Amino acid sequence: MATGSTSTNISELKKIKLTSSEGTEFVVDKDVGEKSILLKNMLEDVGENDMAIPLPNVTGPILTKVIEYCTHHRDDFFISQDDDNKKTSDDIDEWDSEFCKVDQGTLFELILAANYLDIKPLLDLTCKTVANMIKGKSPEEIRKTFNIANDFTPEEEIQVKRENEWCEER
Amino acid sequence: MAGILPPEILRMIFKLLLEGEGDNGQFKLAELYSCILVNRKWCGSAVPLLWSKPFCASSPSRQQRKVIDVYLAFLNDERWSSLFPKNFSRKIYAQPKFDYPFFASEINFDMMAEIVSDWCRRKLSKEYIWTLYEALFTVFRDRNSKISKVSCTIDTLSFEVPLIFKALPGLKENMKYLEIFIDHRHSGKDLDMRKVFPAGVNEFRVLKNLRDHHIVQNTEFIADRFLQDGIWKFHIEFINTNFTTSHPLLQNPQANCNIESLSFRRCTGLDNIKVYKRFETSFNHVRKITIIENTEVCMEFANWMQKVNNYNNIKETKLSSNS
Repeated sequence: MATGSTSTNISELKKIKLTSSEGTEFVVDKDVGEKSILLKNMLEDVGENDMAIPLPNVTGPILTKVIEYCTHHRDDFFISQDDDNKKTSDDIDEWDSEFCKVDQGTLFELILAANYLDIKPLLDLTCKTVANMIKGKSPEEIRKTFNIANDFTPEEEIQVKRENEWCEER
Repeated sequence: MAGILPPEILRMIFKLLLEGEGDNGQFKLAELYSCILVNRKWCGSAVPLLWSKPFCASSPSRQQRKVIDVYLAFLNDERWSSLFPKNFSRKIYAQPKFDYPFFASEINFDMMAEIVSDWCRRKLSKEYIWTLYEALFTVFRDRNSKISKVSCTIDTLSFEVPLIFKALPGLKENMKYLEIFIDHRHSGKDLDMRKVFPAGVNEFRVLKNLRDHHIVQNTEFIADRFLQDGIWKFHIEFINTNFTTSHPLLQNPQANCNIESLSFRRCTGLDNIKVYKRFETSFNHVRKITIIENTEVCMEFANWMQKVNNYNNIKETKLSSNS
């Protein structure tokens, strides 16, 4: 056990630098940064290095949120879900649920950042949040919720309805 | 704003709508149906998922019969007229918007059988059941469906499933799982695996759900049938099983040599060190052990699990990096 805690402490002391799309530099603990599989692999490939890692696809405010998430979950084991373990959109804990109370733009940007940085638990969480926003809604209500335009032609919409109505019954 | 989400993320979100607690699959499909009607992009992302498991309702209904009507629209005219009566029309789904049969990846054969029978009874007559199977499998074959999983009970396994293999020769290349559900009613003793699987089909991974310990002996019998050929790879999932040292699968290590992986769901007895010792000797070829849900194990069992899983992970990593 002593060895384990010593290595954690050493790891915690190490810092890495990240640069957001606007060029803002962020300094984070290495173990927090390594919650991102993309960063973990990069660090393994590059080795010890003081250079900042550029993240051209992630803005400063979104990177701040991502770091907040990874810092809160720094001690969690991020185990990849087995296909047999059914994921559900109902099992979101309180902190995570509060974390996702952001405007829709931020939520979608967080999804894209989690996908790009390969942080599966954050991707799952944000996707679950969107799934929960869809549940129980009609197509029109979904369009209103996410401000989506209906681009079907009337004929096309009828055809799609007709061919897929076998799953309509609630 | 939702427009920024790429199709692969939308698919991830839609998949979450289908998963979770409860058995009300039809309700979850209805959630997905709403997504299909939002706009073209959502439709294109949700349709493949919706049609990946086409026969999944808990009971056949008027709506479910429409799955078959849509599939039949893909049957060419010549085949249609050779199979069905001349006055029997299929005008409604003349030119389907998507290549629906192509998306089929999993078939619950029992449910399919119910819907097929219901469709025939209501639209033609029961005599057309086998005709309809033939028509559907022709469609799957012609549209190059990549069916990778067939689930069934012992009833259909011994009788109807062989027809799938006969009708879909391409199935053997794509199929990863044959999921067999076994319950108390079936002894499995009338099952001849050589009849079930045609010659040359030898790489299926068989997923057997052992629903509880009462049926283990029957299952063991079925496993023996597979083992006679010596080419089958098994994954066994134990569900609600109470393990003791006298458990049938812990008696003969030789008989378990084709079992590739084990998983446990709500099982008991694995916290007993004697049971663990039996496991280690009885399943010494196993390559993966997973605890899926609520199963307590003793420290020795946990160490064994870790050793097996780590060893094979390392081995596979090395192999893949070499290749």
